[in-house]
Amino acid sequence: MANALQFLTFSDVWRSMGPEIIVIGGAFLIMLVELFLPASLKRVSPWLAVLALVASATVLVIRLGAAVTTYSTPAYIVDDFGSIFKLIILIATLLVILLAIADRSAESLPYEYSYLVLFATGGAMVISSGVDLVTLYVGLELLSIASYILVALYRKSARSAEGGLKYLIIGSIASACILYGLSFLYGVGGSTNLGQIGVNLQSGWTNYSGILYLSLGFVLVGIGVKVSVVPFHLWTPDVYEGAPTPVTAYLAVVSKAAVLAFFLRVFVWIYGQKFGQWGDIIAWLSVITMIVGNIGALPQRNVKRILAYSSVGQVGYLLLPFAAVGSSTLLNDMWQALSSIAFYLFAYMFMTIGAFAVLAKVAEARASEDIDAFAGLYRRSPFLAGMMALFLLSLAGLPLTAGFFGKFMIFLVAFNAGQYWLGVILFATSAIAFYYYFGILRAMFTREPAGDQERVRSSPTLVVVVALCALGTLALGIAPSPLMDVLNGLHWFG
Amino acid sequence: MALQPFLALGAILFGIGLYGALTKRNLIIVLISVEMMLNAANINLVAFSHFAVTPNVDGQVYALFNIAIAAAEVAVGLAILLSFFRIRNSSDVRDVNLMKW
Repeated sequence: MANALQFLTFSDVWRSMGPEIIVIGGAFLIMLVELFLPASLKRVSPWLAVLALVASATVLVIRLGAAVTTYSTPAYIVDDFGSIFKLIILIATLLVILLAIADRSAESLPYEYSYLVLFATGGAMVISSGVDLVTLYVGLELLSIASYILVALYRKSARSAEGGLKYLIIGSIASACILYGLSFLYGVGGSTNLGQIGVNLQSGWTNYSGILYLSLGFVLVGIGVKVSVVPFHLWTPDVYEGAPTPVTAYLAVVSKAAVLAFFLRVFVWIYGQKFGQWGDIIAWLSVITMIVGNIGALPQRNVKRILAYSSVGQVGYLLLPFAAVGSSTLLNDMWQALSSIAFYLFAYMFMTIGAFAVLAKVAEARASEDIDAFAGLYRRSPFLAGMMALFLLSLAGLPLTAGFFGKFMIFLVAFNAGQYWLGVILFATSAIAFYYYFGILRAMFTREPAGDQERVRSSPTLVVVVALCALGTLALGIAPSPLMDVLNGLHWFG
Repeated sequence: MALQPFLALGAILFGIGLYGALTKRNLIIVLISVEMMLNAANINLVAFSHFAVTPNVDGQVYALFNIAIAAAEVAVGLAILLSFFRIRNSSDVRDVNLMKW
């Protein structure tokens, strides 16, 4: 009985959870440091967070493409699927923190955001790698609870508190739905491990199909709320408008990417074998999300709400590849769909955070997020106006930008799977999107500035964030092949 | 005892919680309703852990995790509610109306 006792050494844990340890450990450290720093030095705490994120991303990139590692009879798996989502999450968090550092308006974020964002990011990373119902749910709640606080972080602002309250109530109802659905999954599968449940269900589907569809319904509703798929999207514009702008960018990118990872992991591993019977639901959800999200943006006057509705529409595009190929029995189609989702997430990250960065600066200068605040921006700051134009055109899908190539890849996936109608709706809704983005472009380039003509001065940090996002948007649009090669070479689930 | 009564209890609790969360006007009652929904899931998990084809302790461990998370969630919820109350002097759902459509 030499092997009866197995000790868990730190190096075992480090091998599988290194990036997460850096992020969450860093969050605790910053929390302590921030407490004892004098008020004049508190501004270094976000830079410590930047340091933790860079270190974590470095560890992650070094390990990309290594063999699959599992941890704790596998509650935790380090495969390429999780790694690529973690990479997106880390880069997006880095850009968001830089944006928050750049935002030095009168009502700036309290420095608590630096570790709250790291906790949320830790949760998002755990979701990407968790293969156990407990791990997945704990990660999801860590992300959600930290996000509730982040939204309500402007303690003096009524809109921020209201947005936080709405997000908290809707989000916790969604969490409860997901948990209730997962409890049935545990009951039928007899284990909390996704792989084990998948094996047990191969015989279980015939006996327990009713209860399994019930659990699928609850989990789908909960996830639908969290990523704002259309019938459950009504909270999105309100919360995005109330939240501080960097937090809005965080919710729009990191939160969505992480919950999408949860969705793909659970639905591919557990419910995947009966895809033919529920795949149409995803296709229809994707279609109404694209249509309603893009049409809902048309009557809006507040740029933050326009971007919120546009981000709802983008979720439709992100669901589309999965809906299109799920019924295919070819594994290759599935990998192609996953790489198109990951590529679009990269593109979506750069253009969305870029647009929110410009919006944050313009709204700060005019103390308004209305479309009128953008009037004559070209005169007041040619740089910001040009960059905003690039991000909006990319979101709409103009050729030579990342948004176009991402949509084109999604279209190809739908086309190869023979789901032509999905591809047609993708391009039809993009045409609608052009209309409301042109409203902002027109205000920036053709109208006279409303009010003073003073130039908008952007801080160096803001210029760096905007330039990085613009670089990403253009690079993925003009030369997408390096990222495509990386994505095509991945072994998604090991 | 059989499994079904426990599942029925869980379903009833979940239904009451969802109804309360969607219709009640006092925000504290809404938070309590959400707690009921989470506890419905816990009842399910513990029941399944005892009556499953292969009984195991995983479900009970899962329920313990959920209790801790629910406590964190409600603490944050009350804190945000407090900050809302300080600004608007109200804990009524109908006053959460600054932003619409």
